[in-house]
Amino acid sequence: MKRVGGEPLIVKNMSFAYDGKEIFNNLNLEINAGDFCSIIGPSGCGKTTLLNLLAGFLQPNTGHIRMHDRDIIPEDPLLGYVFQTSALFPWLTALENAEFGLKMVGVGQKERQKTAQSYLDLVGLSEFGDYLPHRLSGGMQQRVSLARTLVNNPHLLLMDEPFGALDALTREVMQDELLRIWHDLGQTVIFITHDIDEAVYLSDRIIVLNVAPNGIFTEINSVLPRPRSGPKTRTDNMFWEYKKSLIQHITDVHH
Amino acid sequence: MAKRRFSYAWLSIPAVLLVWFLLAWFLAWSGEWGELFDRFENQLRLPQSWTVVYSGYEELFPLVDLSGSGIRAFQWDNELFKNMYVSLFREVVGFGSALILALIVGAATGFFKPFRQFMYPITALFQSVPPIAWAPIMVLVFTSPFYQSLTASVFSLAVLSVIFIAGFFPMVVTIQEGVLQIQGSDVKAARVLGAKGWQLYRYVYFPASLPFITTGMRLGFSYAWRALVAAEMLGVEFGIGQLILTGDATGKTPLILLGVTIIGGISFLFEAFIFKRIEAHYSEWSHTNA
Ligand SMILES: Nc1ncnc2c1ncn2[C@@H]1O[C@H](COP(=O)(O)OP(=O)(O)OP(=O)(O)O)[C@@H](O)[C@H]1O
Ligand SMILES: [Mg+2]
Repeated sequence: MKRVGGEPLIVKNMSFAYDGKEIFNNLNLEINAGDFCSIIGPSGCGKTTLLNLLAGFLQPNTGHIRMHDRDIIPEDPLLGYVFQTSALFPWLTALENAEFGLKMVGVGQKERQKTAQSYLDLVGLSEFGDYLPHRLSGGMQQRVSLARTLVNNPHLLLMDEPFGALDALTREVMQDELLRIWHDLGQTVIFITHDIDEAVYLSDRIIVLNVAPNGIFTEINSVLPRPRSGPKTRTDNMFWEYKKSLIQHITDVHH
Repeated sequence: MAKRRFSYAWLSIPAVLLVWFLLAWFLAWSGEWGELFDRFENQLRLPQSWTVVYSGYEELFPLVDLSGSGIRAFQWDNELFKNMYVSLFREVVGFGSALILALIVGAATGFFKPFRQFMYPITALFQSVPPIAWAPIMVLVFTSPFYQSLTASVFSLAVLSVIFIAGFFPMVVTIQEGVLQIQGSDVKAARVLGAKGWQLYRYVYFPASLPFITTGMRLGFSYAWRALVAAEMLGVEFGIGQLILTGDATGKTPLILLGVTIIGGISFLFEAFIFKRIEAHYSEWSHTNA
């Protein structure tokens, strides 16, 4: 289900540099509401920087980034961000971490505990609500981060290699879980990954960034039908065809 | 929580008592054999530990009358308690005001770099001078007739100002460290979850720096306490420092040791039962190393 009548996310003539180190040069990008868009690219090419710009943590030097005709600020209730390294509050338990967003908007304790618990259930951590983050494994921490972000029901979900720390099996479970949630809620997802299979399996669109500075990029649209279901899709011939063309693309870009 | 295990800490008190006993016994014996150990005679009279305990009893249970009946009875307003109350009262007032101000100044230096730069030489100066070095000048200033008319002698602004200096600066530095170590990622995460303005202070900056605040309190309290007792020995009325001086002046050596024991005991109780417990609460996730 795509969000009906949603406005696209628009990046227009955007340039950005860290103290003279140019990362983006006149980047133009439009992402439709409800799209699942993956971004891949070599390490250090500016993927995290792009998400920070999209979230409003960084300001473009020129050009703009808009959604619903307004600039995005980090505090925007429509925005969710799962960081590359889990940024759970170490002094709060998993459940309290998951409650945080609701607490900020004044939801009562009973209700927010119930909602937060349901999202911990969703990411398979029902039993770990009263654990402090440092007693959870890296993968579990990342799942709590995901739950904590989803609790706020964001329309634009930015994810920075969220499953990078997970083992292959858990990763596949989480991918299916994410797709299921996305089907139900229809957020716009911008998903950074290093894993080509992951990008192919999840996305409508894959954007391939080059080494910095990035201006023009290449992208390919997915032809894989939805809904995609675990083993069937992953072993489908179309999946392999698509993956092959993507790899071809990346090799072209880099040579 | 780890299971309670035997700690060798429990051996230290018997060990100290044993050494004390042997030392006191040796010095007493050498005093008797004056010809042999001439230079010890009448110079080192270390009372045995039970003598010190008995002097405590004498203080808490003063003679009922002076007629020589020898009857003793417990009295709430005995000299020992009075001195302890006064010292504790000074500590609470001096340390408390230092804490409140250190929270404000430490947060300010943590958040604003210009103010941190401005404060750095001042903190460095005050931390490099032993607080007790300020005592004579404080006594001079605060015993002028003007200030004496303002405050009761128990209060002693001279002593309070020394405790304040002793506790304030270490607390400022530790609290500032607490603010500086707050992770940018925690702040970013909170903002993107919708925390704005005061919520960031209440739900991120404050809890994130709490371990440092409590460590700062522990340091500040013990620095203030040490400075307090030292300052009390420089001519003020009452206090454990004065108790020790009285013991010295009247030749009651047990009283001196009683004072020393009380100083250590009170400090230990605060450490073990208040500050260590608060700290343990945070040690699980925090990495304070002060
Ligand atoms: N705060 C910063 N100040 C200056 N330069 C930075 C800063 N953050 C990142 N950079 C530089 O910007 C470039 C892009 O960094 P970025 O973190 O966006 O890469 P990335 O694509 O996310 O890499 P990875 O896949 O390794 O996470 C890098 O060359 C990095 O050195
Ligand atoms: Mg990155």
